[in-house]
Amino acid sequence: MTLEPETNEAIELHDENVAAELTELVERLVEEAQQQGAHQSSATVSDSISVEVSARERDIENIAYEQGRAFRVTVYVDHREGTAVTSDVTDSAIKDTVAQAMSIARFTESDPCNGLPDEDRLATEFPDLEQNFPQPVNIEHLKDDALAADAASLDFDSCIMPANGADASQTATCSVRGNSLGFLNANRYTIYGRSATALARSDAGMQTDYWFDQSCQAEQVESAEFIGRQAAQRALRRLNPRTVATGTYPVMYDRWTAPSLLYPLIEGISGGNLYRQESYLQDSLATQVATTSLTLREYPHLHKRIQSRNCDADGVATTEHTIIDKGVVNTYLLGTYSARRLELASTGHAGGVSNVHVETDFTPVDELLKELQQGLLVTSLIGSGTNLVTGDYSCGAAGFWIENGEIAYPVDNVTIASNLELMYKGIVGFGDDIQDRGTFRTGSILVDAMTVASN
Amino acid sequence: MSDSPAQSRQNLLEQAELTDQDLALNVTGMMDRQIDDAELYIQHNRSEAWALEDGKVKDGSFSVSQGVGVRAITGEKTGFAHTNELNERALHKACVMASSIADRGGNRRAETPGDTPFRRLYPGGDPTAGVTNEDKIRFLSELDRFTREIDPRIVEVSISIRGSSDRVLVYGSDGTNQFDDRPLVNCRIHVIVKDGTRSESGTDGSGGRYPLDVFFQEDFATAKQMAREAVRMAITKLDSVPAPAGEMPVVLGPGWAGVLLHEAVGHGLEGDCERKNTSCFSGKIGEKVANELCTVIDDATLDGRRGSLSIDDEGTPGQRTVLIEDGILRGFMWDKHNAILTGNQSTGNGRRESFASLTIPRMTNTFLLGGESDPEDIVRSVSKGVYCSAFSGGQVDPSSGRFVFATTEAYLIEDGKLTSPIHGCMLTGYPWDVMNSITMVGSDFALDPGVGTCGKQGQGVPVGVGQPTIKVEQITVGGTSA
Repeated sequence: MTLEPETNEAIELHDENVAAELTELVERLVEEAQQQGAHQSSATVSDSISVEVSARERDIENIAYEQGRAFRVTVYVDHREGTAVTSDVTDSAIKDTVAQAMSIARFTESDPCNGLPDEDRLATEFPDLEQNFPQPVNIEHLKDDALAADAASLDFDSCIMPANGADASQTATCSVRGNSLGFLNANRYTIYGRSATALARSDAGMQTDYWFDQSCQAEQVESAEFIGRQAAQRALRRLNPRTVATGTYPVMYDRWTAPSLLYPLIEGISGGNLYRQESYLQDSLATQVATTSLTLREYPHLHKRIQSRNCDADGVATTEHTIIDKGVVNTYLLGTYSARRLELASTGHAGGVSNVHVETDFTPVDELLKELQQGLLVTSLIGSGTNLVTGDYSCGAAGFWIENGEIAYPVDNVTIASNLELMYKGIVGFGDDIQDRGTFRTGSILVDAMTVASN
Repeated sequence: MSDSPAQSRQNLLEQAELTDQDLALNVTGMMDRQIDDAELYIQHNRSEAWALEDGKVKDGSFSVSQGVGVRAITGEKTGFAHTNELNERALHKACVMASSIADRGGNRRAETPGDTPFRRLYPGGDPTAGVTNEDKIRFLSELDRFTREIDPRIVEVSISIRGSSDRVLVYGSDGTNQFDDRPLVNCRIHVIVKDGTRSESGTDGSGGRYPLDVFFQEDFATAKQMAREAVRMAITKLDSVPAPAGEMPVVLGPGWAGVLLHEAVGHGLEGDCERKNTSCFSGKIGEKVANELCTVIDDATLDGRRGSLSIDDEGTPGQRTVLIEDGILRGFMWDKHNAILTGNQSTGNGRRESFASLTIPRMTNTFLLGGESDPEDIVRSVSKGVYCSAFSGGQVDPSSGRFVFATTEAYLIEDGKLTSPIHGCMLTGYPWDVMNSITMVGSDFALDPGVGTCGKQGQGVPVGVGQPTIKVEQITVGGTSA
């Protein structure tokens, strides 16, 4: 046997028929479930193709091709639920997988909260959110990108040493979701990404950092050169860290770490944590949980954004929400099941939030640093030390020590600790250095006082 | 009765609609493209999970994940393609794509014996097969009732059991032709307690590579002990006070606290860091990196442990590797690829999350050997510090060495005695500082109960850790009480 040398041509992106093909599969799954005796059922099928190229020490290191299709079917029999997932998409697997889900539903207990969403909550309109910008896979292009990002990092400074390199990737996904109430939604999206890591070395030791960007549009991703330089710059500025005296200081999360400060607030008012009594924000609806200057508003339908969605994981229509209004909880974030458990209506949050914007009077970030005077500017966090049940917060951090409102020197190997309630109520300002990259659109955030522990 | 390994291997191939000849021809075809090394990894993973919450067994799921990963290596370059479509055509296509990495003349690597004998460390077959679904439901419901009766302050109980069987076949151009059938089970109990306005949580779990019915024996004795432990932890924490902040002596209890070793030294001793010179331990073999009381081992060969592997994901038999001996750095953990590039031998640490991930060097069961100190003497030796007995996990930046790990149950030590329980908090340090300041090593060595999953480059793999009670003279405690 020989292998034909037509390698690049072997990577075919989804053709126009893929959505139709997956839709038919979803319909067959739901039909099979109803035939096997399910009262209600839902199915999701996804198909994804991706290519990732990585470079290291100015040479290509890995090329990875991924092609995967998987489906999930959930059945309800008298409010008893069973789920089966498989990556075996052969015809015989459809029957077998549905049978597995049915056999699980025979043993689970009936829960009146189980079941598909109420029909009138299901999304019926699916405007194009412009998330699909397919381009033919060009391996040479991806190689050039990875090499350029790696080189830009290595060339940035003589202290930058070869380490884990850089990569460039592209992914195309088609997913189709449907249920026995007639709901059907096909969604196609693309993700293009570039990332680089950098290792900086001095006599005092090594520091690494990274940078990345991704978008559903290839041309919107920051250039390979920029990504490489940014990684190098971030590693360099961490060299020769010093220690600080353990004590209580104001702490500013820079715009890239600010989302991790806000995330527990979102988790704390999410249905699953509320009905399991796993949140310190139990019964917090309409109460003040954060500074009056914090408003969080969610925009699920923004165009050309990876996080945007017309419906949630249950198929419930998404809408704009003011989540936190001047520090007050305006809505919990509920999926179908958690809403029923709490005797409320779904807010279209099965599977989490989409695009959440901080809306406030932003302060020029230099002024915010002046206000900080003496304390810690956090640029990197390590470890997860949040106890959502009590609100206790303790996290490893690195960043810069601020003296007289200006950066004095890098700091590493410290912890920052407080309690989430005190932290959210103690936010004293939001920087105007707004970034809009992932789930949260936010600038830097200054917290009045946290315990900084160091050696 | 479960099938013999040979039969189980044959079933895997049949499910994949592949024959031994397909494997051989495709590997030969790849090698004709002038690469150094070609490898096929065929996997079939079956898992099921049952969960109880709010007094009801309301979640059950069954999943099958199967596919093939093809790796082509030339020098430092790797071409990798995977697909979950299993048939000869899909395999062939993946082989073509993976071998597109070839860009120069091949240097065939040394042949290894195709089926190096190894000891099977766990039974093959489906570990859940010995228990009926009715029994699984009864187990969860009875355990829920048992747990709720332990204390009236319990407001929520969640319990889960899961079991998986993972069959992998590794077939390589170097002659590798190995098959492994890996069971994995676990049981986890989580409780929320409430007293007035205070809430706390407690968790306990255990698992390993053994049949699920271990939890069902002796009237659920193992699981009931876990329930008591989870409740005890939650109730204890109701009285906790703020944790101190700053550098101080810390005593770490036996078992799961070994997560310290995993983060502080384990990751930095994985061969990819050594090859790429990105570890703070790079080039330090033979040097003193820890107090002479410390001997650290990675051992894949323990029977039935969560981190154990009869063979790794490259077909190399699992091994016991001395990493640090009496404080001196002795070795790194290697997969084949990184070992060959640096002139080393694989130590059987090549692992991957699944067929869809690239193999990288990973830990198996990593632990610090026991010493001679009486654990009580260790606590008595501290006038002011912290005792930590439970952890939620940790993280490390291998190049700077900085690591953190989070305690979930800890106490103040005052004048040699445990006093108030304290809120959970982060501990942070550098390996050389912390490993050199381990000044007492207890005689109460224990492995963790089998709950650890290690994440690296987005891939999670089951691991074990272990240690006796130890005293660290100086480590930063990240509480709020400055």
